[in-house]
Amino acid sequence: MRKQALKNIPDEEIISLYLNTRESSYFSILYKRYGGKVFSKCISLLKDEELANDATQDVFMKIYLNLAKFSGKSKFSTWVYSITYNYCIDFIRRRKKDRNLFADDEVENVGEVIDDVPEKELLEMEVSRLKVVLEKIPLGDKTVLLMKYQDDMSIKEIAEILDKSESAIKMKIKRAKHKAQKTYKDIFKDL
Amino acid sequence: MSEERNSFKRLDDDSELPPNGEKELNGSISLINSVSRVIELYLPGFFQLLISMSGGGSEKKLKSPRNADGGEIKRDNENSPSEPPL
Repeated sequence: MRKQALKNIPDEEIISLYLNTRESSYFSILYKRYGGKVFSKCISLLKDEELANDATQDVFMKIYLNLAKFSGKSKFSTWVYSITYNYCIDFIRRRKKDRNLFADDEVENVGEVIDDVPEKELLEMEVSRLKVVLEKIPLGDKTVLLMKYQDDMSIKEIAEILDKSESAIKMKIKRAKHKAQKTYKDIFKDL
Repeated sequence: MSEERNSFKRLDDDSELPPNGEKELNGSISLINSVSRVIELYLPGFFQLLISMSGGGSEKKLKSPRNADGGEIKRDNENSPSEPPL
């Protein structure tokens, strides 16, 4: 009965219950809500189940240690996903010794970006096909598309996580969409 | 409505918790809690020990000596100006 009632409580209330009581069952609710999504993002970015498992543990330890600092300015889910993306991007950069994972369109002062790439086709794509497309495009492009269309992050939030200007992110998303659509046509045009 | 459940969001539908993830996480959390409890309990005592070993911090040494009535015992030369020994 109590468990059922807790299912419908918003994240922010669960957090405040946890911070007031320090009862681990409240933190478990947050884990059950977001653990799967964090794990799936980690697999998708790190491409290794074992690494993704460790990454999920580390991400939730960070969440646990910093929960009191969550200000509620953004949604809790956005906060959780930004920790996840930061963790995975740092990990990939360290492993590849590649500081410029997102630098292929390193244009900071691009001015006003007009995103005229239609997104209908992308947003209504069959899930199995979208999976294939996302595996084919560069990791940086895949990441910004997931941030924008899966996690509903704003351009500002994406820019903060990736430490880029907002116009650079707009340009990055525009190019990522274009690449995804081209990849889709290349692979599935005959089907 | 279709925008809320776009293909990117549907990608997330079959996400599952990592195997043994909750158990491992609870293990790490209880380890952190135990360590922080130990630190909280013993660290002040440890510092106190360090301070007393280095010769500081004892209140008794700082207090002036008292007589049987509880009054302060004054040394003979306490109020007189220091004079060079004859």
